Amino acid sequence: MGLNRNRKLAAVAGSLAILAALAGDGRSQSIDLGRVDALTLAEWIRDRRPGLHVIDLRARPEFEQFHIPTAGAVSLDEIAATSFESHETVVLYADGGDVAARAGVLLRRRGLDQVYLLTGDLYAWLDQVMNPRMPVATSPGQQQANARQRELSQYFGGQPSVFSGSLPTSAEQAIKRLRRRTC
Amino acid sequence: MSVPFFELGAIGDPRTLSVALLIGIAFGWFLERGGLGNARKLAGQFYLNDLTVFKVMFSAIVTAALGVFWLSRFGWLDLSRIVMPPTYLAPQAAGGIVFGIGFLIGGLCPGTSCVAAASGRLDGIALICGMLVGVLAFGELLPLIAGFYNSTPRGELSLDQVLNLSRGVTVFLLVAVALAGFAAAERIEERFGHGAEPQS
Repeated sequence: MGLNRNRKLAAVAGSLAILAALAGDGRSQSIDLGRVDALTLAEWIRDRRPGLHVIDLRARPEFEQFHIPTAGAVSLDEIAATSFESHETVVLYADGGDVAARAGVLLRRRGLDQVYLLTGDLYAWLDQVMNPRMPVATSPGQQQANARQRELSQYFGGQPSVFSGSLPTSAEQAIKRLRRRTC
Repeated sequence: MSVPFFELGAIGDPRTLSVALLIGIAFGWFLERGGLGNARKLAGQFYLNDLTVFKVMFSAIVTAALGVFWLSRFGWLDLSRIVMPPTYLAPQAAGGIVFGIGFLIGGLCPGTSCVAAASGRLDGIALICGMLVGVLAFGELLPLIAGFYNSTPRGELSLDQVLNLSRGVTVFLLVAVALAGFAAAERIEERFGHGAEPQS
């Protein structure tokens, strides 16, 4: 009796394993959230991309203080009850942490395919769109990038500036720059 | 509802701890019911006359592998939210050797020593005391061995990444090896005497 039960369990396990091999990589069901940088999001907003929803997951007072243009305030608790059409694009941002990622997972679970996280959250928007500091253009590619960034920044009322010398690539360098400016 | 519940914000700390307590009790109960609170049964693993430990542990691995794969495949489990301990080759190999020596000497591992102690067995209590002394000693010596402790990092490695195979094929191979192992274990036990007491 025990042997028969073990054989049945082995048969079940073997069958599930064979199906797993045929199913391939279960990664397709793992959540893989897309990411969009601030400048690309700015272009989407400027070009009025159809079906675009920008969701601000921060607390309401913070949202009222500043938010990305066209963004709507939705909390993590409310996101599950918010309905979106399957063809619509949702961009999520918060103030760091994993709040945006959690909201993205919930939306993906509901079958929404085009869910993106804003790389760098709200800080990236402030840094790259509202107050971008662009390096001096030393190549045609850099000139083109600066022109794109300047145009987007001015469209949203930002204040682009050109920074002579190299931009800090680490927090340590950035802090040294701050100290130099204040001395 | 998707899992892991805690990572996705579905349950908070108090409920998580309660669930952890229930899972811990269930884990201990299953170990005890499987006879793994008995050092003689565990020692039989090394004498090849009782491979219950191998069969219980590998059954758990197969169940978990199939469960995790299919829950993920159906979209009920977010694999990216599962914490995977990072791999440090050399220190973990050394730790495995120390663990094996302790298991060989004591006839119990940390988990089963708790089960044995809960069953009233003195050897289980002795092993828990030894384990706690070991933990204390490790904590005190960590500054001295920190270099080795953090050496040979390999990040969060999974078997499918190491074998460079899809997750489904890896699960299939794992189950195939397990089933072959179970069949081999039955034959080994028949040959070396299932349940025979090891000579003290």
